[in-house]
Amino acid sequence: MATTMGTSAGAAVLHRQGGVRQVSGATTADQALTALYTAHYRRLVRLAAFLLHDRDSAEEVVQDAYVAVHRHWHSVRDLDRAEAYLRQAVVNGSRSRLRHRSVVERHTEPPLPDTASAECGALGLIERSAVVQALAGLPQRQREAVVLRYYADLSAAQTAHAMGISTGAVKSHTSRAMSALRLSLGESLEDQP
Amino acid sequence: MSTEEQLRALLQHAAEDVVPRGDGLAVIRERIAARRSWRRFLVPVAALAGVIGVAAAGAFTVHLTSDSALDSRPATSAPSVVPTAAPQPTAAPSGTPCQGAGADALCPTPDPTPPLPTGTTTSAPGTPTWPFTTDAEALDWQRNPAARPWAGDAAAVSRHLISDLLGLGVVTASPVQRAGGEARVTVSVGSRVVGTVVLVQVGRDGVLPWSVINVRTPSITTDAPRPGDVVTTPLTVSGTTTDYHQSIRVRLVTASGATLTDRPVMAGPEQPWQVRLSWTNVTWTAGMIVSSTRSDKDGSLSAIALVPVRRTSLASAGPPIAGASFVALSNGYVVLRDAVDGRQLRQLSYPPAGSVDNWPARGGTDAVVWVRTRGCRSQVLRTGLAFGPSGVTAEGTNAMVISHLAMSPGGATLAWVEEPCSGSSPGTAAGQVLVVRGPDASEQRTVVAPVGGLDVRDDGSVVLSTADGVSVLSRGATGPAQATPLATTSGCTLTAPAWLGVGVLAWESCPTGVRAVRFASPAYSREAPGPVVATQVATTSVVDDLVLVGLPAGAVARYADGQLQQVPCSACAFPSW
Repeated sequence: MATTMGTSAGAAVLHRQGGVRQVSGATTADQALTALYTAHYRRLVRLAAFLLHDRDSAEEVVQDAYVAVHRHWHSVRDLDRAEAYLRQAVVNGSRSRLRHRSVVERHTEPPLPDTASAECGALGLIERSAVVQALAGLPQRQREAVVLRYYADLSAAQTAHAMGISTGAVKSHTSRAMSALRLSLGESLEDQP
Repeated sequence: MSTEEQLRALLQHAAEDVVPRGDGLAVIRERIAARRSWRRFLVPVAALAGVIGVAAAGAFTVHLTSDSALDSRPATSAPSVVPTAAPQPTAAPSGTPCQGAGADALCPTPDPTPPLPTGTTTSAPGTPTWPFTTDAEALDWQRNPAARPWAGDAAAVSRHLISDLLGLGVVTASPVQRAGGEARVTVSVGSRVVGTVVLVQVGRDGVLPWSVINVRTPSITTDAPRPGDVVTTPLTVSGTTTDYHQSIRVRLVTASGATLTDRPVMAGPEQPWQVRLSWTNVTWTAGMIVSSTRSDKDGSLSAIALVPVRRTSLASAGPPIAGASFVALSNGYVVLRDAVDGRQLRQLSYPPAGSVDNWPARGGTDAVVWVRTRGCRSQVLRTGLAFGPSGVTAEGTNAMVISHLAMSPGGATLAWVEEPCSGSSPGTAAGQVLVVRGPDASEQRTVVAPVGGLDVRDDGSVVLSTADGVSVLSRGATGPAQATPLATTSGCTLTAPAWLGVGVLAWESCPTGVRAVRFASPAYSREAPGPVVATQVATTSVVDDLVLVGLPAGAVARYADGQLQQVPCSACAFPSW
């Protein structure tokens, strides 16, 4: 059964053939890039934003991943694999960013107190969603596990692959994260009949 | 609902606030193009280095094995290499959106920018640009065709366009090829075809005049903007050419023939061209992007392409100007509307199912905020009219809903009312808390009586109306007891207040009618009221002494010289400059 994923005229059209998605005809890296961008970019940015707590960094990490997929398209050549590759690259890129950020913060003077400026006072505090705050309080691996399992809707095995750890470790991280989130989010996460 | 399902829902909801910038694909392509360019340079350099290395090794070996060298080998001699011109790296594609990626390229959809109205009305297909843009103009011509007798002849219109309007020299026009209501005229300079003018007939009945909808040439293709696009300054025009290293002249010309901007750009067959146009004139509506090249031999016209465009009524540069446009709630969406004709310029909010958007407000240079409520949870969302960042600005307290959102003119301060989620209409329940956030990232919470309307100043001072009347709560006041009540005539009530500079404007409703009253700072002394207006006023928004009011039943009006001038806008609530 063919599943059309192209979204507009001229887009690379993706077909499901024997469980493997491929771009019809001779797929160039540019065509694949466009198709992958259309299908996954927004979702990957949001995934990275959960991991990094910063939209701009998230976009950069995701763009890095797309450039890498384009560079290695000759060896990827399959959109399912490319999607997994992208996800893994985003997780790894986010870890790298966080490591870099922690190093920078260790060696940087504390910032001066905020000064008043238009909109800073009222509008500076973006992304104050309770769940985002709660996620930010989780250890990195737990946060990755939760976001991949419950935002990206990956299976434990897919999550393990994206994180580069075992399935058992994913379950362990997820379980601990859920316990912590129940505490921090309170009634928002209580089981309801 | 299980915990996992709730977490999924919470994450999905939170994710909606993360909106990518919209130029992601362009950025990725630029980076890929830059890398290709670097590789193009690296490969020949590496090859050259290899050749040099091999040559050097060979020369050194020959030198070592030669008799003379064995006899007398200088200690510092180096192999000599004949210099070779290194291949020059070629310029990389510019990597602009939708360029250089083949026919399968997709443009990223900008967020959130639905198409804007063109502001012109015509029954003709395409985007008629010159000499007629509307059916009304065509009707005028029909009444007096002698003024422009050539408008009934497509070939003559084509000649006039290129020779007279655009000043590109004398051209000849071939016999017209007609298909349906469309005509194609091939224009030439001598024996050289320079383009094909496509025209349509404009109007409804009788002898209809011709109007140009585009000009095509195989040698210049304009990728952006597309025909009929609504443009604003600055505008990036891009395309391709089949000519070899041509200077393309790119102009924005209005339908009246005024050239607003004129830029040359170099282009080659393997290099997409791109030029950024900007202009200051904001009085035009219909225009055209004209790209043309000239012959190297005699300077005559070599090729011409024309793309019709329309101008938005937005400001010439940067975000739309407050006073020329306003935001309002219309049919559940936050929208930007033209302050003169009320037409919708942009839809700003897209509430997901189950969420309700309300209480839009505007402030700063380009910020728009509004309240999104889902069940018993409210957020203050913001977006930038100049396509700035979008996101959640404030998260309401759990089980408290937000209403009466206001933003100061400078954008430094927000104020809103929080009340327990009781199921009643927000803004009416008891137990309300006035929250003032800003300036300086500070937040002040004051318990108040049910609020009917409020406005906030950059310094955090709030004017609010309650059942007790209108009062001013200065910055630092800790409760209603420290509020300054505004005086009203006996038997009348004050409503819908707004800051008017450092004073206050409010509406006094008396048995004799409704009238505007100003209260001057510092003591908020009452001034003489204005004349009676015809209707009640629900909300007031003021910027630079321009007053915009929301009227009952979703109508909007400007208040000037003691009169309300209605702005065409049905079902528009909470208008805000």
